[in-house]
Amino acid sequence: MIKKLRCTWHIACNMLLGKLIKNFLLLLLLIATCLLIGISLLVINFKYFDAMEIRKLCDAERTGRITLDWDVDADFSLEDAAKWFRKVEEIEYIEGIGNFVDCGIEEVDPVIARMQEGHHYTSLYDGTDLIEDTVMNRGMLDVFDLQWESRANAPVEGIILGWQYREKFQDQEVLHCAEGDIPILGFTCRGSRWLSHEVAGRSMPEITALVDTGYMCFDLYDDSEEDPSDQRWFRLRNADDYEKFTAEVERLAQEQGIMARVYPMTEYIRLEAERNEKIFAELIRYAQGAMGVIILFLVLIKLYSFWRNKRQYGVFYSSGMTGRKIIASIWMENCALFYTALLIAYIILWNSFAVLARIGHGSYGALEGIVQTLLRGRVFAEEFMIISVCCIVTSVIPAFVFNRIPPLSMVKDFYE
Amino acid sequence: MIRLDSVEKEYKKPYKKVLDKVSFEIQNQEMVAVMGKSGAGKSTLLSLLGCLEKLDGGTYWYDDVEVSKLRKREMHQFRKQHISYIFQNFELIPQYTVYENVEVPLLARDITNRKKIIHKALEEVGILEHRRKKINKLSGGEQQRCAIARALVADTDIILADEPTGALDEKTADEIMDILTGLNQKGKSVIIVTHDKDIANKCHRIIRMKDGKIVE
Repeated sequence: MIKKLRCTWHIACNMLLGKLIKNFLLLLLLIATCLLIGISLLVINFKYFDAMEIRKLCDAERTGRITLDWDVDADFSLEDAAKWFRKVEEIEYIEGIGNFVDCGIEEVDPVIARMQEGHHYTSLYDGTDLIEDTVMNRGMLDVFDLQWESRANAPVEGIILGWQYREKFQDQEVLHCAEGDIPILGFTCRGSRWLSHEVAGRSMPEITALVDTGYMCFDLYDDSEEDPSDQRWFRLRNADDYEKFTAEVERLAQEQGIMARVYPMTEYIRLEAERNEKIFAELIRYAQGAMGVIILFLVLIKLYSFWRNKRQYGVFYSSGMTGRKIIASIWMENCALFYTALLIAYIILWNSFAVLARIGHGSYGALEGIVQTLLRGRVFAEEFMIISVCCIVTSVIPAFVFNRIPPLSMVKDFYE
Repeated sequence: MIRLDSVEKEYKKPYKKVLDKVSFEIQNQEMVAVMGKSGAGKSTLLSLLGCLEKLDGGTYWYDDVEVSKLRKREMHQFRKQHISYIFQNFELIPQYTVYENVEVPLLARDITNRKKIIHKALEEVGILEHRRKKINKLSGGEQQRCAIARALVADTDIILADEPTGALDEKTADEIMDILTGLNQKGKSVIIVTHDKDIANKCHRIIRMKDGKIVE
């Protein structure tokens, strides 16, 4: 069996190399095609805001969000908002409030921290000189460089690392990165989950994504500072207290002369899904169309390639190769070509978006979502499946043709 | 021994009876030439012997095996074990080197230690030094030698050659025939389709065909 596989693989490699040497454009074309499929899938992915994952990671019945609004002329600022949220924190029904849920920080006082998905960005506040900086998540630290140059005025306060990094970093006080040292403040509890927080500030688009805490880093604000944000996540002790909590929040808001909106995670999910749908509807339509055309194109190229080379297959057959072996080698050739192209395309995608995300300054929220999607490997998994189907189709059709045409006719016209 | 009994072959579109009750025997280690004008059915006969086409009537025996009754997989196996084919226009794969072309039958047979076998075959036909060259860099004679080496490595007992010297000059044709004769002397049955009387005269026997029938 091993011998058979080895020989069939050898045939496939010879065929593939022969074609590539003859036509290097073919490989470039296939790489470009896989890249386009990947980009299309990324765009299409935005449509499917992952409600299930959110529900899995948090108790949606007890979790929700408070957003504030106030008259621009009012004597109220984001710093005031931060102070206002401190009052909300004291409401008896609250288990936790802030920009993370599940207070799973062991060593550190659960000071309100801003958690990022791991992408870098800056946000600018009207009338303030606070620069909000993201600390890369550990996975992203491997991918990106820290954006020190855009954060010169607001150095990172500290990092809470995910619990998976405890063993590696527990004896260290700082995390050494190329651009500087970040103090390690503590580690999250084992198995803790987090809801991320998106860009604070009204001028920036919102992104929320869910992450595993295995490798999260945070900006941390100490007691003397407040997280300048007009929204917070909250987590109740009891889902039944929702209405009472909402009433209490509204009362506090009225006292302050501002408007507070409380809405549960379930509504948040719905709104986010609608928002995604609205923003990307047009783009998704184009992406779906483009992907369909691209895949058809890909399959046609491969089938054309088979037709052009059918003489070669006729020679194989007359040299003793069975039809089955020839088809197996075609399939292996397709797999080698497509999956290599997919891998190269993925590397290009990853690094391209890494560069784009690194630009950072005023980065578009959707871009940040792309990186998250890539990190989760979802696009890759879907594209792998699509490419696998292409491999099968581009092998099955030649098999069908092979059974219909006499092998000798493949080698030459054979009428005397 | 190869035996054909009343073998028939016809093509449907357009309709043509290519072989009409053809019967003959070829003994082991015999070198036979099949002669006839264009359209006589020589190449069709060869392709039937090589199990590349199916009979429409009659029987084809190899020793005590009725080849015409074999199922597809058994026929593949038979072909792999007993038959090597040499085409008129060599039918080598231009993207491959000499070595890679000769390697094909060994890959078909899942043989892993190929290098030694290929080198031996290339040496026997006199083109070992060209093994790394692409096919289009070889002369006609060298290409045909490569095709013969490809047939050789399969180590079958029957070699079918369809106009092996058809595209070659006289001198080169003689060289190729010497190689085929050498193979026959080593114990292989060689069946050659040819127009050339000189080539045919080098064989033990000539089978003449006309309009799909054996005439001599």
